[in-house]
Amino acid sequence: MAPAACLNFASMMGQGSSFLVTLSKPQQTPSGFSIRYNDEVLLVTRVWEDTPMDTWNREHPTRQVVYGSHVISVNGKRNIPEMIIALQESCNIRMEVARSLETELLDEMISRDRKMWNPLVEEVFNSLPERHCNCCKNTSCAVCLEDFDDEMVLQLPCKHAFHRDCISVWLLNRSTRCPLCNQVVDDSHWSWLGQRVTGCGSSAVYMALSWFVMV
Amino acid sequence: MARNRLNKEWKEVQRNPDPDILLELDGDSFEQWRAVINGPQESPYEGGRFQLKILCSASYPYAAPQVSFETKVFHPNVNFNTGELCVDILKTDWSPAWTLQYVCRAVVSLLRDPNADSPLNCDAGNLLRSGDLRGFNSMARMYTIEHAMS
Repeated sequence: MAPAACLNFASMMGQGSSFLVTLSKPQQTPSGFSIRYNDEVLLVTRVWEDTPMDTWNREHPTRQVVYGSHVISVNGKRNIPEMIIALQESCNIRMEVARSLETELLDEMISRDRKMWNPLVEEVFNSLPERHCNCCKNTSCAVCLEDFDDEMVLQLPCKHAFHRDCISVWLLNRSTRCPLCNQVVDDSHWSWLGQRVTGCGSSAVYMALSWFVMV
Repeated sequence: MARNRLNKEWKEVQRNPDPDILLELDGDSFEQWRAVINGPQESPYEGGRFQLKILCSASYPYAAPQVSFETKVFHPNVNFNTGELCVDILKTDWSPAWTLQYVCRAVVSLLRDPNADSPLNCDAGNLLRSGDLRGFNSMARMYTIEHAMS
C-alpha cells in the first residue's frame, strides 16, 4: 500500500473513523438535530423525527448521525463558532462526522448542565405567559388531570398549558421539560445566563459551561 | 395533590379498564396499589399473570411511583430476588403526565421488549446478549409456568 494511503487511514482512525454527511434543505428549515458544544468539541445530542437529518439517517444506514456523533468540520470550517453559524445559515451542509467515542464526555456535559440548570430559573418561570385555556393545545391539566374551566393557565413555549400551581412544582423543583412533550421549556436562558456569568468576569464558571443549540 | 390526583386516576381506571391490566387500591389509603398484568402475547410470559406492587409517595405525581414485581419473573430488567425493575420512565424520564395505568402499560412493554444493556438480572441479560434467544425464552417460560400461571 502506498505510504500516503496508510497515513490517511491512520488519521481517519485517529478521529474514530470519520465520514461525510451532505444535507440540502430550503432556507429557514432546520436540519433537525440538537448539538452541545464547548470550546473543544461539538457533539450531537438528538436527531428529530421527519427532518432532513432524519431522512439522511434512513437513507444512509452506515453513515448515521446519532447521539454522541462528533462533528469535526462543517463546510470546511473547523472552528466551533464558524461551524455553528454554517449549520444555522447554510442550505447546503457538508459535515465531517466521527462515530464518537466521546459519549462519556457528552453524558458528563449534560449531567453537569443539569446540575447547573435544573430546576428552571425563577426569572424564566415568571416570564412564561398566562393565556386563556381556550387558546391552548390541551383542554386539561396533565399534572392534576382536572379539565380547564374557563380559566387562565400557564402556557409553555410548546403551547402546552397547565395550572400555574401544578406546573410550578415540576419546573421549579424537578425538571426544565414539558411533562407532555418533553421539550425543554426555555433554551434562551442558557445564553442569557452565560452572558450574565461572563459579565461578572468569572471565566472559570464560563469555561465550565457547555452550550446547547438546535440546528 | 397526590390524593386528589390518585382519586382521579382511580375513577378513570374504573371507567376505562385496560383488559390486560387490573389496577386496584391496596388498603384504604391511596398510597399503595396492586396491579396484575397479563404477560404479552408471543412472548415467553404469555398466559402468565404478574402481580406488581405500586407505592406512591406524597410527592406523586412529581416523583415517580415505586414499582416492583411481587411475582417471580425471569427478565433482564427485573431483579430476580427483590422484584425491583429498571425502566427509564420510573427513573430519569419520569413525567407527571404519566399515570399508574401508563406505568403498567410500560411494564407490559418491558416484558415484550427486554433491554439487555442495563440488566438487573445478569443471567437473563447474558443469555440475550450472547444471542441465546432459545435459552432465554425457555428460562423465562419455565419461571412463568412455575410462578405466574398457578
